[in-house]
Amino acid sequence: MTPLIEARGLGRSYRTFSLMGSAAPKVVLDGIDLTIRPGETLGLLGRSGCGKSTLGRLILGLEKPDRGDIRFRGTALGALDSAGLAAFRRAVQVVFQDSLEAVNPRHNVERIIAEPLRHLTDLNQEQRAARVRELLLEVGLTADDATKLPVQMSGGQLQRVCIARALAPQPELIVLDEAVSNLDLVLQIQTIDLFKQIQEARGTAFLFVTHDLRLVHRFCERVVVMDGGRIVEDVPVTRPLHFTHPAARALQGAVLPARPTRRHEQPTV
Amino acid sequence: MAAIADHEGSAVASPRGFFSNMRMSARIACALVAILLITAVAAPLVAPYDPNAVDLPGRLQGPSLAHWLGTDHLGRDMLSRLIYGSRVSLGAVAIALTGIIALGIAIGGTSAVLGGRADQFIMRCCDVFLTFPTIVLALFMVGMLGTGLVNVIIAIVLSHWAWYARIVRGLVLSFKRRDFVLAARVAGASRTRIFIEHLLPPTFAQLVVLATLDIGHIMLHVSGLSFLGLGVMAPTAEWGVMINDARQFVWTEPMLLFWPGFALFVAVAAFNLAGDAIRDKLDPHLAAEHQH
Repeated sequence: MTPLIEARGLGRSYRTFSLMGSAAPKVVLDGIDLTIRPGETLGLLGRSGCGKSTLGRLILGLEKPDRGDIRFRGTALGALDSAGLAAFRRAVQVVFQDSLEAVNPRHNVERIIAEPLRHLTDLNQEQRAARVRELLLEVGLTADDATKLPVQMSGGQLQRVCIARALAPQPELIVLDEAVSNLDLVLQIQTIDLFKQIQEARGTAFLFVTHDLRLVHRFCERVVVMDGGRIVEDVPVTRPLHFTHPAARALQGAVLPARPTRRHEQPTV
Repeated sequence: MAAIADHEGSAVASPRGFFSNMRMSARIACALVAILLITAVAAPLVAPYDPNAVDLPGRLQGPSLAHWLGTDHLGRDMLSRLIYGSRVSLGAVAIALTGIIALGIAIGGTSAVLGGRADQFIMRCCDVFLTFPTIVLALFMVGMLGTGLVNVIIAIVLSHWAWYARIVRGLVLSFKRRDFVLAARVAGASRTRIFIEHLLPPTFAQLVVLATLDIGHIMLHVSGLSFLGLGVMAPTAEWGVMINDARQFVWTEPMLLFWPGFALFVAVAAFNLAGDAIRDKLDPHLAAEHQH
């Protein structure tokens, strides 16, 4: 089967300029090879600053790699013509971490969800409105929510709006960039269950970018661990996970136990 | 949920709560601005006399019931001339600011959207304009274009656009990196669409606030150039022209100089204070500061 997305030898560095000339470029990604197959759920794990969000952005085509290339169904992103680019945009969608930041505060829910439909499909206005209503119901909101503004919704509801927007063009891959990290535990589990339902109904692939190992167990089939701009682990999800790299083990150690035990007495003054 | 919506609404721009928790000085300023705008629009109804009606026997009169602020050296009613003068000043400022904002958005927006070398080139051009004091630049432009109100407005637009272009570029760049713009790119929106739908509205909202703070400054520019005899020509009633007319009577009839100067002072101060108040209202950070 042709991989949906294939990254080969990806490198990305940022340059900072100052009055005293340019500083040494900061390498964010270094020699990344990654394959995402149709319908697969891949966890992309790593601590803050390890380059996982940058990798997410490269896969979405929002930034260009300095070295290597990303192929969408075998064609490099840079070589796509406009029809190919539209097909890529339809196929790969995103849900960001901060839902309030990810929507235009001046647009109502209907306009937000209809945006990819306007640009990527040839539905007319009535068809778009009908599709928005379907999507709202699918993510567990009501048709009345269509006229609301982002400030009138809670964070959890707004994240569902963002999920509906990502689902709108019927994508084959959704990049979840820390998409549940801002939600509380109950909402996190509800949202992940929603993703699972979507996956069962549509066979959508997910790239689940997170720093939280607990969620990986619940949702992913394969997990990739990044550290310092490189991929250090690429293993199937088993319980418990068998990691060998120290950075991956450190993430395992960072998970707090469900029932905390007292380690030492607090000093009383 | 409704409570959240209400709170957000009143913090940003509910017309009902807009004036209620403003400082006294700001409320007076807003009232003065309103009076200025109303008298300017309704000048023919408000002004007691024709501003250009010459009455040589009744020249240089002091204040009286017939002429509240007296008459000038040609016997024209001062109050009527001040009222009609506000029309020219405010009209010229409105046109000039519209031009400045339009040019600033067009050039600054293009610069930010294109990025790279084009951005660098446009910004260096801006820097050239920014190195000159605006009044010197405006004088230079009037020198090239010739005198007259239209040319003065063009000169003011051409000497001020660079400030706005810089601000627009900065604002657009800051919005461009926000997640909602990235989401729009993923949704397949073109660069032009993103600029019009997502980048322009928040940029414009902030620019309008900045522009209110600049009204006084531009007004002084218009009157200053008219005072120098480059803008509005006598006998048109305009505050700068009136000050220039009154110059020769400064020792004998100082009030002729005082009234247009005072009108200018009140208008500039009122617009600055009102602009401050509006900025405080619309900037959530400053609004929070005032509450503490």
